[in-house]
Amino acid sequence: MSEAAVHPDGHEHDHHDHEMTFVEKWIFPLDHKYIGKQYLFTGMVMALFGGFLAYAFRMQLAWPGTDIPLFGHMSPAEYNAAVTNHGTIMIFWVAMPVLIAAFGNFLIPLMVGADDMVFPRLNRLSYQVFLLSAIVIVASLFVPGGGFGGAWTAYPPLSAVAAYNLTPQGSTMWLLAVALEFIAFLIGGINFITTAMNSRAPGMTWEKVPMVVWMICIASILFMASVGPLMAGAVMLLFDQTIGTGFFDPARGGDPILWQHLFWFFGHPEVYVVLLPATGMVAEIVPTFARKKLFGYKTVLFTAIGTGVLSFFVWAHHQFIAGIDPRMANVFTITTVLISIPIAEMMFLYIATLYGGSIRFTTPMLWALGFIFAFLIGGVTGIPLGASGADIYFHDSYFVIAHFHFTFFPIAFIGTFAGLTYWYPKMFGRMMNETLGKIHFWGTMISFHCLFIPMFVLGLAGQHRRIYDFTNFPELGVPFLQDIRVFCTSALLVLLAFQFVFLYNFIVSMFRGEKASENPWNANTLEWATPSPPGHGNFKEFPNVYRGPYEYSVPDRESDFWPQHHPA
Amino acid sequence: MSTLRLVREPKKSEPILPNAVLGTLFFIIAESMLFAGFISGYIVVEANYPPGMWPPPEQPRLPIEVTAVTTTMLLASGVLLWWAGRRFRESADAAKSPMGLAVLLGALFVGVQGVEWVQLIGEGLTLTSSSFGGFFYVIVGAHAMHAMPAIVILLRQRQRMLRGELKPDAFAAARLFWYFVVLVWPVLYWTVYL
Amino acid sequence: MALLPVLMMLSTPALACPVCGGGGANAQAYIDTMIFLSALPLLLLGGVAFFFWWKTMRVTVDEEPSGRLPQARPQP
Repeated sequence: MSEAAVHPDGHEHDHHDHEMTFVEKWIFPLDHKYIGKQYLFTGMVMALFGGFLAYAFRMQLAWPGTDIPLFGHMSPAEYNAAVTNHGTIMIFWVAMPVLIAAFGNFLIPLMVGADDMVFPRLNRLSYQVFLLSAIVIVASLFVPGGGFGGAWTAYPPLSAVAAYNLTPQGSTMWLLAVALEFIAFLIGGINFITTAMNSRAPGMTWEKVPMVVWMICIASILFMASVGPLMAGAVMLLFDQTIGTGFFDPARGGDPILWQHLFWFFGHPEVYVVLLPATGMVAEIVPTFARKKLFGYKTVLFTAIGTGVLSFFVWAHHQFIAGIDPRMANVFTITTVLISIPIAEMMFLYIATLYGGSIRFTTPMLWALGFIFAFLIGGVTGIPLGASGADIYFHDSYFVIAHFHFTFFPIAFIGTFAGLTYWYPKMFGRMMNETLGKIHFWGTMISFHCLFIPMFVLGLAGQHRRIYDFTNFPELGVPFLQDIRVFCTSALLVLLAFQFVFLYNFIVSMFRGEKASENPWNANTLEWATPSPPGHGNFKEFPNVYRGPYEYSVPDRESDFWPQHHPA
Repeated sequence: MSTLRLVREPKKSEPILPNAVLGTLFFIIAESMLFAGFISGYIVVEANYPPGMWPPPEQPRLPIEVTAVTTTMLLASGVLLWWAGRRFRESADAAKSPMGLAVLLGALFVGVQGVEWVQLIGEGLTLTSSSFGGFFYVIVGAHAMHAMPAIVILLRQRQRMLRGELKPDAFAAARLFWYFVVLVWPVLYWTVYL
Repeated sequence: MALLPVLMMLSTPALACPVCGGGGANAQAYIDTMIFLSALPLLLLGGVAFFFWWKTMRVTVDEEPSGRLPQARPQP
């Protein structure tokens, strides 16, 4: 079967495995692998930037008022801008591009056995819009008046009225950057879903699709179905900021709670948008290194779909103290607690996959197990926050901070490290150093827990989220609590230091690492049937699919894996 | 009787919808939610006003009757485009005139909306004059921002159709998007005008 | 799930709450739009999913040879 017959409406350019020029690879790529890598590198740069902001404001909290190395003295406005942009960048410019766009672009065509995305030009446009948005958000910190400091949720009137936030340009640029970024992912998401639905290899029926492809598609669908109201809100907020309409101004007939309403309709599904790809990657890694079939493929899939359905019914739990009707608060409490059931079930299915397997503790496997461990803590601590009664006490305290970092850090970093170390051989054709990888794993895991577990204590002690200098508060400035803050900041410094081990390993392995074979982990899915790294057009010979992706340790076979494309 | 199982090469499954149509379908879902967001905002802010105060009495009334006529025109344009799609299966020539008429009606709709806007601004209804004005221009404007590119795309496709170069998939995707533009309008009309 | 309506009946709006103010048109509008916004994506996606399911069913039935064997024309 010729390629033209397989992909009749793909791109027109020559599709043979020719060597691409630098411009074709990195400046104007149409190849999904290079667009994915561009997303990955941009996300990594933004992660360093977001990490630097975290370093700056944690130093201020631990030793208020002192000069911070590499930053200098931090004013309250700078503190607010740092906190706001740390949150925004880590969610929208690190978690989203790396988990969905980078892995989605790189993995979906390879895993479904296609030569590229179905809309390669749209794919390139998506990255270019994303890059523009990243430039705008970084630039917004350096305009006169400073960066936007009204928290990543941007509640009006603080975000709408320049007389309150004092950052007229910063807040408009922040909003523009977020809106541009959503457009980029809207385009990207359409591409992912269409590719996964229409370009699958012959024989790949829905129950033979690798789990991570399913998860990225479900996440993209969730994103597309939830982003509209926030875009509507963003347009209204932009008009409030720039031309003086009064959509969110109660004095002029508007309604400030309306923004929360529209924001959280997107904001909560967003959590599952980034969670699902991470759990999908764990679902690929755990069976591969346990040498065992994924326990309950269909159940994992249905828990993901169930999570997606329920995620549209939990968002108002962010507004329990914003004055929503208590009757609705009851309903949202129940749905919030309900949504922990499918996610917990998914985690237990992964644990059940481990049971009786011959586990190999490679670096990706350690990260995958670390994800399950840390994410379960994050999930369990969410239940008191989801209960509307308890939330009245916990709201806006460090308990919330600790909870969502225990969900987002496993998703955006632990999950990403699992995926990166697992697919690194396929991405760059070389192996990463296992020893450095394990040092990085243990250093990150231990310091991460030291950083955020004490914050649960701080939250229970009543420490509010958005305070610049706790020593001004007699109840919060006591030495015991200040010691905890210093401990947290020290853990953060250790955490950041260990990331340089990863960066060193990542960059050096790209050039000096041991050459990777086609299938270094003896895995089953289709991307391991390509050369490492795959050339333009991916497959030398387009594969047919004969079985599911997790046929490990099948009895009566010589090898303990059975790739999807091998005929019986 | 024993069952005979044949092992055969797996077959490439036929896509249920072509790529362009499928992509447009998901884009439409996202866009529907955008309008749902605007409508929700409108409903919430409207409820802040006591009965009889929305739209604010000192603000000009919207031209309900004229817009009812243009709404009918837009719906007719949707039907004509659907018919053009049916005819297109037979030949490109047969689809030419219904498609041209559909685009003309759509352009007329946007044009009349533009004239309405100029009049309303002259009468004192602006984005900043009241929440009602703000919502009116934002919602109707958002619809126009969808209708105008759709008209441009349809015009380009008609040129291609005349040259016999129009791909059926691209035409189907454009038709689908136009149906969305047509069908979301009565909802907006009912919300904002009535 | 059957408990939801019961719980909604049992709880009354907290009058101390400065924003909700014990119901009113605004609170009702929030409830309505919450239901509207939450249900709409599920309706849209459910419609698409149903459409695909229906199409797939038709395709498989068309391809299925068994049970659709051409009937022998009854000889007069």
